[in-house]
Amino acid sequence: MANEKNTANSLLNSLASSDLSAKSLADKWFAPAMYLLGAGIPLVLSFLYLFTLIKESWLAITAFGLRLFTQTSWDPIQNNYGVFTFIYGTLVTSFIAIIISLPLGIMVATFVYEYVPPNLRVTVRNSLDLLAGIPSVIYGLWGIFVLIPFLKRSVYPGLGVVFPPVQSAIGNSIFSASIVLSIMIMPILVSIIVEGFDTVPQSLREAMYGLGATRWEVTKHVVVGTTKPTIAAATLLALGRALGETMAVTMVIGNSNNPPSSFFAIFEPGQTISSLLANEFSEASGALYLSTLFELALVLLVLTSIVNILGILIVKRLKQSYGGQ
Amino acid sequence: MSQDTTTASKPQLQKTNSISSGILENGSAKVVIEHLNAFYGTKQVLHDINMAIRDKTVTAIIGPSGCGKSTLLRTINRLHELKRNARVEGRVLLDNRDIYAPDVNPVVVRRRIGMVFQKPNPFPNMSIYDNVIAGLKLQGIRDKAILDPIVERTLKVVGLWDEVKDDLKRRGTELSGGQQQRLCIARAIAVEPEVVLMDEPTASLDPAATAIIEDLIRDLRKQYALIVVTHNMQQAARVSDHTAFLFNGKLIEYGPTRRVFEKPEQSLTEQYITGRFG
Repeated sequence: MANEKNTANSLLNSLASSDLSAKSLADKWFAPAMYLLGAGIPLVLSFLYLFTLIKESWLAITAFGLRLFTQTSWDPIQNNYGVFTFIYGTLVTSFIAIIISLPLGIMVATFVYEYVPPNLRVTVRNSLDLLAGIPSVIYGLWGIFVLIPFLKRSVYPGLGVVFPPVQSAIGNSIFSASIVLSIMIMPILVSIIVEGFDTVPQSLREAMYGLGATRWEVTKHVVVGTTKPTIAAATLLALGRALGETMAVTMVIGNSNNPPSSFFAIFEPGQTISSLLANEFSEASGALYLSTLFELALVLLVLTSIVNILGILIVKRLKQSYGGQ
Repeated sequence: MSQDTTTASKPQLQKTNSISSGILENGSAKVVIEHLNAFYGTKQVLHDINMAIRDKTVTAIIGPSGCGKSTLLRTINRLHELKRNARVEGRVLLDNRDIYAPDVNPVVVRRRIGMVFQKPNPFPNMSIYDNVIAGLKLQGIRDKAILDPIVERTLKVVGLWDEVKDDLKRRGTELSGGQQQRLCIARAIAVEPEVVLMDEPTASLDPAATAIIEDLIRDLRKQYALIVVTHNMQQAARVSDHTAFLFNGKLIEYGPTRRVFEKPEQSLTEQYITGRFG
């Protein structure tokens, strides 16, 4: 008996001392390698982007300082650059796009979520996803061949009566770009808002119904009411998209480097940072010219990053605070 | 609220079949349930329920999980039909007026019949104050001179006033579970309903908070007809005047609480209250 026990013990001991902690070579290196790739590649890439942009724009940063952003003349021949026009174009197109898209987006999301019968809902959501996947050049073509002729034929003559400068508008304008943008950002707005609606507990709807609320009142006070932070996050993410959108905007904005004639010059041709970059990078000659374009790219990157990070942070915080429900 | 809607049908004072005996001996019915069947799709969850519920009493509905207690409660303020494929047959009379009549607006029914839910569900986007007046706002009342006293009075009724009077602007969801549930009761009674439905109102609360809510239920009985679903038989015995025992969607027994608990007429009831199943 005692002998057997000893044998068993020694067997256990040998097991413990040898193999319990053993790992194959693949185990040892696989996980760290994946960590390195997974965390490393995105980090290294974003650092490289940032580094390149800063390095290339250094010349312009030191040459102009903050003057670059207040000046309006864009003069490659005199090597004198001011980018106010493009910052104006970028902010105004995105802002108008949000103003148009947000109320519509909330309406569409409400409709999709609360009123579309479940079997049709999948179809509607799929078509929204499809809309998100359409290449932006196609939005641009639609803008050129459908939207702009429509604006010139049906909107501007009427609008010109109250606002005379519009009468001579050529159609390619900041306003046209805003409308195209507002349609392009609709899918992202709607899908995030609908996701937010999904997190509204049924018990809250019932509480409101129980107080004698109509369906519309439940939607307004409970569904939209409790989703406001999500709507804010969706707006920021959509704004991030609108700020950087290039192709469709370049096709309809008119690509004019002239400074806006007034603060509300939205029916004139304009230029955004991204449309300027698309237009001029290939033909930029001279170190300062190129460096200024790089600085604009840096500005755009920082701008969209801030907006996107804010949006992501809000979404994250929401998921935590609603997690318990 | 006025009772001008009550004249339509002739008095339906139930010759409450034997199952409701002892309920209406000294009073009239506030709510009468007649031949009520409820369905989810093709699945029938309530079978031919007949009950008369008296005003200013607490009626407890007990029974094992899934027996249809909550469904029965939700047919009384027409909340059941909001679920997908849910359907109701039969009649529910509120002051002798069938709330399932084709011309009845369920929104108006729900104003007269308040509801408190299993889990406290104050609106997370609203302050304590706004939670209390949510129902009044729906009726278009926005005058602070009217709302302020209602908020104070209602919060006093539920015993929350002293605890929250200094921070009515705080979010309702920041309160403790028991306080939240009292806030929800305040929200339900602020619109001065005639009937208050409670669906396992203490199921998610600790014993101390439960005791407070039970005291409150006994208080509220002076003003309202209360119908309380509970899975806790001791609670039913403590707070209710009448008890209905539901099993598999059928009303097995209904009568004065003491009688039901001490001398149940049905053997199924006896087995349930003595803990042999459920």
